[in-house]
Amino acid sequence: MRATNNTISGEADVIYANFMLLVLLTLVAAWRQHVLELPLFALTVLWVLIHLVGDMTTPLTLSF
Amino acid sequence: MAQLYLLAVTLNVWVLFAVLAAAFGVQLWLGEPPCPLCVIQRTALMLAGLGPLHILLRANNGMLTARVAAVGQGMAIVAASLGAIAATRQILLHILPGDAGFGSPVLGLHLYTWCFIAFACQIAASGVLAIAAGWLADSKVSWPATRVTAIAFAAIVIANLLSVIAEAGLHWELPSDPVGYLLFK
Repeated sequence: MRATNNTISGEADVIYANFMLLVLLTLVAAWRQHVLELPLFALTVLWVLIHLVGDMTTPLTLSF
Repeated sequence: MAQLYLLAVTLNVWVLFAVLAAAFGVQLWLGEPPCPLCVIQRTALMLAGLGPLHILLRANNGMLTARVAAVGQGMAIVAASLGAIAATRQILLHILPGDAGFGSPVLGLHLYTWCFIAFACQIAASGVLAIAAGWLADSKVSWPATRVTAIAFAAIVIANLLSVIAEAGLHWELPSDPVGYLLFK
């Protein structure tokens, strides 16, 4: 049997492209030794973590 | 010691690059677009790569110091911990008896299980390299592999960004069990 809920359910999932865009921006900042490197890294980690915690505290609808 | 440290850090980036490339290979060859939790794990792999890249790029443009190494390894540990949480979450979603898991297994394990192993190894490796940083003397070193390593890593980040855009398309929602690329539908 296959569970179908592999998602952070219901929200704007366009958000995943934003995560990767932030990773890319952080990489560019690291390359240029810009002061925003660590803040961008922290922002990305926190945003992903908040997103993940939101998913983990959402009731599951697995197809068991 | 500085050269050896930079060699280890460079290998770290290339291992993460290989894991991301392998995930891409499964996506393209087996025709299995990543689910949202898989994308989160890929994001964490990329974030983990930014730690060793921080060290390489700082060393390339200035001095390799224990402080730079500590910051870079700390970044990698934080990102890998985040990825391990996401991978554990997905493993637990499919842990009950009778659940075939999500996607095709590779060498007997699903990609999210491989991801968990990769994140655990990254945490251990970064911990060891953080300890080793204690023996680093501040030094200006030349490390020619930095540029090609950073370019390759940037390329895989851009490829993943384009992949996610293709997968979500102009739709606001990304399916939990994706089977195609919404941009082309």
